Amino acid sequence: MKKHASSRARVMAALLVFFALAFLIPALQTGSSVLWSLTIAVPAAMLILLLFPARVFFLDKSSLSSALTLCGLGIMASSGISPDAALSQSLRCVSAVIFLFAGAVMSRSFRPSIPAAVLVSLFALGMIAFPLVSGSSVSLLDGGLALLMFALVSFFSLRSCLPGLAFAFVGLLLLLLQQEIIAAAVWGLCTVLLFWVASGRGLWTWIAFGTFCAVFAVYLGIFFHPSGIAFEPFLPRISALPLIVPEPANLSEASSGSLYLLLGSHYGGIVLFCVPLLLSLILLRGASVASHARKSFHAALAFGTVLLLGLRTISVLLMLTDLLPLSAGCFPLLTDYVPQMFADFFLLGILSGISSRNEADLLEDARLSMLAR
Amino acid sequence: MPVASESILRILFAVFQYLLPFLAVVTVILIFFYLLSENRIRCEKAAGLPGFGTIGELVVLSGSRNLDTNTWFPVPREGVLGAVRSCDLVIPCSGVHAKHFDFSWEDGTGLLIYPRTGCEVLVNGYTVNCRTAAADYPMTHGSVLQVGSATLRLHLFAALDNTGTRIDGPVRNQTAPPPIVPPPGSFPPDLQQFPPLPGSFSPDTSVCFPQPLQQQSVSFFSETPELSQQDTQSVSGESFTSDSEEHSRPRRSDRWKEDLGE
Repeated sequence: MKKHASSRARVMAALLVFFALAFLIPALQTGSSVLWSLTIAVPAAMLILLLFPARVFFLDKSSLSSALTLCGLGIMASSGISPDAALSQSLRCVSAVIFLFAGAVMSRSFRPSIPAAVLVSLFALGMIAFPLVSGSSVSLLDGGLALLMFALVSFFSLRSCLPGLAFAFVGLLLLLLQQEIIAAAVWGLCTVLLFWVASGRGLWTWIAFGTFCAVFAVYLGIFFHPSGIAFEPFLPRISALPLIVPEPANLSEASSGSLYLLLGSHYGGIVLFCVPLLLSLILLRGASVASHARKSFHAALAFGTVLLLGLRTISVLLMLTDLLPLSAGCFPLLTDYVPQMFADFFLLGILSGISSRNEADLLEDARLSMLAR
Repeated sequence: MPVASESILRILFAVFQYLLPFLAVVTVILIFFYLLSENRIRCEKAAGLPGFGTIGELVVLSGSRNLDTNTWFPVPREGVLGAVRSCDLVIPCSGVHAKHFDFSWEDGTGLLIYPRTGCEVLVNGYTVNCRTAAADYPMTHGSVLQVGSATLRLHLFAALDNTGTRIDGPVRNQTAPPPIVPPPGSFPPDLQQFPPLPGSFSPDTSVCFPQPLQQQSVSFFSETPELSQQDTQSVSGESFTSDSEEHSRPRRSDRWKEDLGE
């Protein structure tokens, strides 16, 4: 246990030092009071979150450390735009923590039932269909998919596969109607794999996969027009980034673009490589939580979370390397789009809740074996 | 806020230019080792808990050529029973489908059985299929399960009695279903060699529901006639069977150990 405690202390110390230095450079350069405040506030907020709420709510500290690091990198990247942009990004991250707790509470205490699963499915479909219905440009896609995954897992754990698949299919159609091809592909794969994990029926899984491919093929053949999409190659921009930034002048220039590219242009390619590594640590932790979960509902929920985050990460990597000729989205947790950030923290909260549930089950077993002595 | 002079900035940046990426890589590596450390601690905790994640065991009363009598299986809280090796409980007997039924433990009720489509089991003489409500026929300590040609008895950990959630009776409905006398021959003749547990099913009675567990004496397992007090293992994290008493203990069937030839 001492080794574990010192390992935790080392992680916290590394996070504090890294982010304190990372904001110190632009603060010294520009003299902005906002950046000076962030030099102290960002490490302090990380320390407080890892020490107090994580302990009180039994949040999973290893995935929380990775997630907070990604948030900090997002704030760092925003500081390259302007100090106010960095402040806005930090406020977004703080407000997103609420959804972390919401996800943790929901996954830990939710008891699957058919009425609850139907309600959550309808709410999730409403969120996905929001741009279609309201005509607004605000997309609640990621939150809707997270809740729909939650409902789908509830249906599967109650052995009601058909209603779950029906709702998932409606979600897929809604995504295709909005021309969200990548999100639809991610959702389709997630549904098929969750069905296979929950039911173990190989033949029906292949049938579901075939149906998904057929729907996709029909959509791409009839409705999809690639000429209407403006594609900008990313690989040349990324390969042009130096591993270590040579000139300090870059930091004071206002720049635009995705947070990921901003991070690379201001802090070098090495920091860029850390982003997929941190995400893979979160996914590894999620897989570990899923394998240790006692109930099939929690195991499938953790697996679904890993799938949603992992498939999105892979799709962004494919787009950044121009293997998918589409405009790259944002990595999970490294985004400035508020609904997406809230959804990512909600998914992370689900993992934390299941991890704390696993710990509680372990303690219960220890208590039972003591009672039997 | 004052802005630092150019020369100081150049010196600082020269340091940070290499220090920051190095710190980023170090942070990622430290988080990775923290993750490994958490996993290791969990495995150590689990290794020190006997019967971790299980609720008891299923003892074979009558099996087949591939399944010896008195073989016992640790029963997890949730899983699948079937004939294929990917199942949580593998019963290689005739009449057992590849995935015969799902089961899950419910505190305060017992072990609920959910047969798959086209599959049937007998729980304490009652036929349970995919159309039967699982909560009406839960398995409790001493319950007898007949699946295919195999007959098994469930032994629950006695400490489950002490969780404060009593298993009062298997039937949730106020009106219990009429007692069904099992058809002749539904139980193999050699079942008569195993004295019924207190309150468990007896072919001679028409009341088929086991008594509440608080009437039974407790040990690590609730006492059974074929497992005497000295056979019950001590809760010390050791393996289920001790070498000196292995000849009198039921042989544990662990498909992983069978695969390794242990």
